[in-house]
Amino acid sequence: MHLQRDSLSTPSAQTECSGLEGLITILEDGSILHLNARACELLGLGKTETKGKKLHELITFYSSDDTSAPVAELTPFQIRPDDNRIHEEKILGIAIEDKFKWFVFHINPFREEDKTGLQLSFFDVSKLVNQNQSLKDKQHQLQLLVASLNDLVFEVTDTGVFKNYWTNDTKQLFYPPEEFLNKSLTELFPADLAIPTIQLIQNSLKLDREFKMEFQSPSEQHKGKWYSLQIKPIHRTQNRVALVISDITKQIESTEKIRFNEHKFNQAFHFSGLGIALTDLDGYCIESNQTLTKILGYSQEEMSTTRFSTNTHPDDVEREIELRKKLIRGEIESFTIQKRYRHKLGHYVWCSVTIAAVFDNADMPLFLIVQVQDISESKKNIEILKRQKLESDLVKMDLETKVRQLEEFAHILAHNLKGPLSNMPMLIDELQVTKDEEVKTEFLNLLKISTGQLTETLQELGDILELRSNKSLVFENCDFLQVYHKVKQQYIEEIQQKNATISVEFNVANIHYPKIYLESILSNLISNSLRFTAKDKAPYIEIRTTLEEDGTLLTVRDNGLGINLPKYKSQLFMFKKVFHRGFESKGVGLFLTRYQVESLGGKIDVQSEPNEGSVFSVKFLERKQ
Amino acid sequence: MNQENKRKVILIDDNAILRTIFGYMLQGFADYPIEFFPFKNALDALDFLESHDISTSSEPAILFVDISMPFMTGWELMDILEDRTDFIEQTQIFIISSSTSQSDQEQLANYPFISGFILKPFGKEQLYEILRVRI
Repeated sequence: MHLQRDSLSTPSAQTECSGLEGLITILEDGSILHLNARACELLGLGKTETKGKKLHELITFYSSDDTSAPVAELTPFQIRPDDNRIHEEKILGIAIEDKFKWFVFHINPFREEDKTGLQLSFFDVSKLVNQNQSLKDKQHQLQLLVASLNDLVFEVTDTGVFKNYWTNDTKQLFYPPEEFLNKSLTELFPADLAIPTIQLIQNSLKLDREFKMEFQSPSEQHKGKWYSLQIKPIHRTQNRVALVISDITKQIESTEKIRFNEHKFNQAFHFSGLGIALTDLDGYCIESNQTLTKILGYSQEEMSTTRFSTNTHPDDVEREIELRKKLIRGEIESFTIQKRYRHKLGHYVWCSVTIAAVFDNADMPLFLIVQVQDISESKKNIEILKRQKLESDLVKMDLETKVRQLEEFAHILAHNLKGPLSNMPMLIDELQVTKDEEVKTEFLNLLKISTGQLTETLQELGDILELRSNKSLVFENCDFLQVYHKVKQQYIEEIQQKNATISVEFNVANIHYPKIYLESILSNLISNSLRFTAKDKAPYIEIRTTLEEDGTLLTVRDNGLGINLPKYKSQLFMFKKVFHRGFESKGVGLFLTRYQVESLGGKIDVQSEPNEGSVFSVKFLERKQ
Repeated sequence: MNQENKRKVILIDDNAILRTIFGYMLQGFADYPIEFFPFKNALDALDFLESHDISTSSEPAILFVDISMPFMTGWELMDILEDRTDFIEQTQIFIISSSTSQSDQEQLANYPFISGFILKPFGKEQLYEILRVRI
């Protein structure tokens, strides 16, 4: 629009009515000299009320920068003493009903006749200013948005030159902004990072696609850090891309950790000394390792189609199913059982098996880890050890018995042999000196008796010693009842004489044992019971056999004199011990019986109280037939 | 010399022959009069000691006791006599045995009131020497 400056003081009617510009002339103190209709319209003023008033006092003007109202005196609408403005252009706004109207003012000083003042021409730029404002707001918001991201964003040309950047923290930048802006990637970064990046930038632009790469920090300052680089074409500019760089060190580290753990598990799984399998909840094998193949003979492929129960000993399946159910229900964390697997070749392998369940985040069971250890070797060794222990226990028992027997023989030697023997020199001494024929005869007689006693004792000892070398003994099937009847025959007389009753109950009918021993044992026990009877009651003897855990037990119970056990028990089964005064007894019977029983690994025991009778019990150690 | 003043000699041994020989040996002892009481077991001897006061005589009584006997061994008899302090003070006690075993020798030390141990066989003179020793 053309403005006629020379005719401003007296604006023509034409400009006054038809111009789009508002025109105002003011004196140097700001008082309005003249204004056209458009000016009145734009500023919302009546023509009459403006005459002689000062413009900056009449209207409040606002600055477009921050929409604040400048002090009235500082508005450009008056001439200050040092004012040497020639031309000024300024955007100012007025407020009409809470809205701003914006005008661009062209301010030119004039001097005409004696008057100096300012010529103002202005028009409405509200639309432009508001648009600008909203753009500014948007830019501000964008900046806030960028600031809230942890990423670095760069605008880069197709040749890799940095044009712009956005970040919330300039410390994250590899270089200060002034050092990298308008510089190329190749100048700033090592070739092994810069060249592939430029390659990707060009690909991204060419294919209009997003590309991504990860790289490790090239600078010492951020050593060990990992970054992800995203390249996005910025369409509008055609040859510009956005580089978005994010710090992914943490993700990388945790991924690394996961990868490491996975690797560890894989190593442990495949190279474990234990056989390991993963099975689903129904017991079907998902995966198994080489060691399991070694233990069970099935290849990993063969294994993968089988269920655990297929190769388990039928007797062991039920128990494992129960435990697996408990595991899946979360009732137990893991369990270990010893079970038998069937090897591919058909034989069974004893294994120690530990199974644990793996659950997901929601506590749902995913699969089971089965660890298998071949224990057949140690099972076998344990069996061998058990057998050896049993054998050595038997040997130990045998040795203990023999040691005790040796001690007893020493005792027999001291008392039973030396006693009668010592009489003989004493008798001989007396015989040598005496002159009395009567004494001589008597002493010779005593000497004969002594010799007889000694011979008898030696004979008994000989019998006992013979028991110790029992190799010639014949083991045969002995019928208890049959043996009993044979033995009873020996005592018919005493039984009748003492009016004794004998009852028998052979719950075990037979025993594999030397018959002469069994006869001797039974004979001695019956003989004892018949001999030491109480005077006031008829003898009653009860003989029975019962099957016990470790062999057959023979008991002979009587109602006779009984024995003072606390006093005599230690001597009861000793050689030549007698415990009842006034009975014919040599004290050999129980000793012999004990020797017969013990020589074959059995035990003899007694329960008794004086006048209450006795119970003798013989435990037979039967030899396997 | 009346019966009361005869020295009482008691033998407890289950061997009848020894008891006979012992009696013959005592018959040959001429130093002073002796009354001989042989017993075949300790229980019979205890019965006798319960019913007879042997301490009234001027000479102390003398006991010869075998170890290995039925019903009650010589050691068991010592256990009983141990508590009768009056009796053991007035009596000489000798063990007679054919045993040379260590355990019997060790037992001897448990009864300090025993005067001595006589190993069978023994001669007449050995017995007389013991009888001649006066307290």
